[in-house]
Amino acid sequence: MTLLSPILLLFAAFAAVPLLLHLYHRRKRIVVEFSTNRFFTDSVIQSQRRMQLQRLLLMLLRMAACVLLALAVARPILEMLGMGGAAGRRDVVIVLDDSLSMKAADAAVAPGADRYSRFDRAKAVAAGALRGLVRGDRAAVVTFSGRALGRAGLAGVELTGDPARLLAELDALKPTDAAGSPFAAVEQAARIFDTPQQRARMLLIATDLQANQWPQSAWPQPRQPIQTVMLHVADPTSDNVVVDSARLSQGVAVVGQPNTLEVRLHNWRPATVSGQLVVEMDGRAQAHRPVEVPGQSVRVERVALALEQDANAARASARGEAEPRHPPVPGVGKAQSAAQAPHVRQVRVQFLAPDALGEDNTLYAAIETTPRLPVLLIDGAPSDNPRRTPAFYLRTALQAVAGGGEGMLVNSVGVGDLPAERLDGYRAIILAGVASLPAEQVERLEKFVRDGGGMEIFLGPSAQAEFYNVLLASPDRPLGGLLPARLVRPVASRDRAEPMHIVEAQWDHAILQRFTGPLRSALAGVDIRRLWLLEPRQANVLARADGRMPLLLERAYGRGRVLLAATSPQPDWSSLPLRRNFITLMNRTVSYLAGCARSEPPDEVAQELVFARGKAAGAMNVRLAGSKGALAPARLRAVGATPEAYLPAEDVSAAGFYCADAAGGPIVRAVNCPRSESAPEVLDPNELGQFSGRWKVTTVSLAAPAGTQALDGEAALGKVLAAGKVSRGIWDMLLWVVLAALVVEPIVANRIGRPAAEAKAAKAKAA
Amino acid sequence: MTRANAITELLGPDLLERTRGLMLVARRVVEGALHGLHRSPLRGLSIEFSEHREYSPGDELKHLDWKVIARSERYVVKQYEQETNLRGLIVLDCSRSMAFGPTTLLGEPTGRGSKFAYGRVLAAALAHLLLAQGDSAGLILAADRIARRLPPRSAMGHILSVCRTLLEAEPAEGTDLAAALGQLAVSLKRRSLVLLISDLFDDPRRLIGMLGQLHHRGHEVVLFHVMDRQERLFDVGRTSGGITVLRDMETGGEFDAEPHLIADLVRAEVERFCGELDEGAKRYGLHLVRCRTDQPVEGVLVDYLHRRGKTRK
Repeated sequence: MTLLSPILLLFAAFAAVPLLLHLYHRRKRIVVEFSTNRFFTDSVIQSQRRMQLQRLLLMLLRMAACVLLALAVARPILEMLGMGGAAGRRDVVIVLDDSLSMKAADAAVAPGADRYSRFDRAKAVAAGALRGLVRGDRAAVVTFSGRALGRAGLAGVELTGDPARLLAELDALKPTDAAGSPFAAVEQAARIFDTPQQRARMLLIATDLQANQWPQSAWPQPRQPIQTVMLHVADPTSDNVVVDSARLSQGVAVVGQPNTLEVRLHNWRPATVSGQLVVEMDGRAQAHRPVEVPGQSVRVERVALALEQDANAARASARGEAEPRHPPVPGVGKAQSAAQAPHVRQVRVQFLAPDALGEDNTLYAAIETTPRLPVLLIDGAPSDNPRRTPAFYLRTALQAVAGGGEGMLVNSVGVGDLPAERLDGYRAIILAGVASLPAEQVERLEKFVRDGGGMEIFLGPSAQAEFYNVLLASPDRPLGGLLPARLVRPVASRDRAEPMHIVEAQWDHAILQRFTGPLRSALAGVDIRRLWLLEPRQANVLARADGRMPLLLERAYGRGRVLLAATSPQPDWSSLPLRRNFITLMNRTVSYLAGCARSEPPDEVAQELVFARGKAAGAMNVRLAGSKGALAPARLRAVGATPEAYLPAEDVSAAGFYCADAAGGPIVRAVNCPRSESAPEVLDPNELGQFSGRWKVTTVSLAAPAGTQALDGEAALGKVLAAGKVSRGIWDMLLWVVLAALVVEPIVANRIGRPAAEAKAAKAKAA
Repeated sequence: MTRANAITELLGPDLLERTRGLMLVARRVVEGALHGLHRSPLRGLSIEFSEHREYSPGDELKHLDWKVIARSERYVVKQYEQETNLRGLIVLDCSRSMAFGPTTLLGEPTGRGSKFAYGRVLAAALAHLLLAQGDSAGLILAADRIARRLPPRSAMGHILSVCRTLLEAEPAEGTDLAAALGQLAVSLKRRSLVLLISDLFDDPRRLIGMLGQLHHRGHEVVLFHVMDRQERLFDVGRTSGGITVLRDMETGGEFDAEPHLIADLVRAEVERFCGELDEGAKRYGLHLVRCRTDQPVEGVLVDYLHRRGKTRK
């Protein structure tokens, strides 16, 4: 039995009052002398005993009434086995898990082949449950994705007494590619059950019990306990292979520069999986090779991407028509700006192998490429002899041709010209030998990095330690300051003949991982004659010189990163600018900084898709690549004062490339199936936690052994209903009993010790 | 103690005043002959010879004194002196149950005396009445046997002995009135007016039977049934609500009672007991006077004597 208001049961303590009074009086025993006991005949004695017993029974009746009243106001719910006896008065809500994972079959199926999925099994059981209802019973069906089948009511879907129609709608139901939320479905079920009638109620949930869907938080609860049967329709041993992610090894894709796509494959099966890895970019094959992924492991495959200039972009730049989507780069003409405009490449990664769930074997990625990386170089020490300034060497290295590409678009300005420079057009900023900067420029740089930009600082002989330590390395600055270290003092090697070298480095870092074999030896052999002694602060030291002095440090700042070099790329400080690998190093460094903006979470099916904000937000049609016709027009809304163009979640129902025709050029978004659905982690029913509460959960496993067909829905239903129970509130019955007791009590009390007619007359006579 | 003090202590001036004008009228004549207001039941047999007088025509021939006629050849009739004195015998129950009355079941004072105290006053009043009208009064204290006996005397000064004996007596014995009355019946030679003052807590049949024997022997029996209000009505008041152990004052037996539960039943038993006494008294022609200790003694006497139909002015 369950109590809805258990605290009110405390009123039952009042039942002890009559007993306590009775015991209190009973212990009082006084002895008095009476003239004669002749009148206490046997009949008097027996009558007294009888009345004492009656009084005791009356006391027990009062106590019982008090307890029953307290129990009634505590609103008890009795659970009785079997719903069969309540036929004709049953309310059944079926919750179907229609998330992506329910598309999985119990065994691996070849790509494209038919399969009997978990959702098919769940539908079969739900249909069996609906067929088992009789006239007078009512039912409704809700899904994890928010769909509901039933009778339309004022507050939403309600229970219907027409199971045939429900069956027809159920038959047409398909699973989705979305993650699904049992929370919303349970909330809806609680609302549907919220009717005043006393009926037998049962909630059936057909799900694969994927762990991530059932968070340990406060779940919506019904007003009174409802028997809930969790139908576990998944084979716990079913496994999956998934294309987990695909990202560029170099954060930014520069046209003409080699880049690598790192594809992460996760095999949840115990056995090794062999399949074909297929990578296409804009419809052209980039890779097609066999791959073996060992069991219960992750394998990373690297695929080289050929990033030639986009043909459409080239034609547009020739016509000077296209508007750059990024702010114009100062000093560059409009046509050239258009040529610099980034373009999106549609990359599709597939792993073709027999799998229980094939939908997560395909990954879509929209890669933004840019012809050249705009880099701002702030020259802190301009000189008549440029060969003596670090900026000269840096500019040369960045503009050099590297690997056949077109290199960086470098704009060099002095400290005095910085205020007039727009920073949002650059992907990276380099400070070369800057002594100091005004505070407002420091704030602009902080914002640039915080918004995702990258910055490298080369200290030189003119660097003012006080400026760097106070304005760039102070804990009082936003996010604790830009600088990865505090400046202590410049140091020099003791002997010019014995310069310092790189003695320690993180060679697996994205900047340094290209330096292998002779390249590494060459870099390690760079002579370092002078450097700043630094005190790292929340920094990653990428390289150290003799004496373990930090040489190159990195610090994350907002969405961007900052690199700090203790030495300066000028001959009197180090031989670095005179080495060939300096160009490679700078290219790697700037590419790393330009692509270091932390990306936003990937777009998933059934999630709102934002296309443009601000001035770019305007009327646009959206289409799904590969489908015919337009999908839907993008909607407009204002977020504060900023307009925003978006596609609502219900229109994002499939994975793929969503292309929007915007005034400034096409916008492409890659939408994928949620990878949270890929992990075959089944929730232990004992860990349902706060979901339980008033949902009295019983778990029934309906998983078929791997390789077998579906269960008979009717048989499954019988098994389900046998485990089900009926909850019924009994407080109304208790209140009737208490009322009856209140009516009977005075009658009984009046009769106990009531004088016989003759005794009454005798008293009157004697008086 | 002087006679005046003893009488004053018991009777009080009010009682004396009210009963002074009353005469005790007996329905049946005790041996000793009555005249005037009394009627002798013996019809001459037990009349004492007084003197001779000359025969007058009309005198009954049976009264002729033939011995005198034979001796003196005078025709004379005998004159008898009727015994005008009632031979009253006051029997006071001095069993322990007569001590009940001064306190309630909760030990609170009732403001009344015990039944024995009440009976004592009543006995003294009756003795005074008898002695004042020239009758004789005797006293018997009885419980399970006759404990003390004062022979009837007609001198007014006898009231002193009666009162003193009453004052000296205390209820202390068990009850067996029937046995005591049996003793009395055997020892009582002359017809008397037996005035029994008791709570009559004895077997009614035995008791009435014994009293009936007294009646059959020619004695007139008047029963003064004295009860306390608590006994008569079982008006035990508001008890504590717990168990009250009622201990019999004579037998010591105890009974665990909840008085408020059984009050009506006990009253019914009392009524039945009283009814049985009434029926028995009626059957044997006994006078039964019910009195409660919360009723004044003089009221009881006046009512009784008026019921007997004659007061002395």
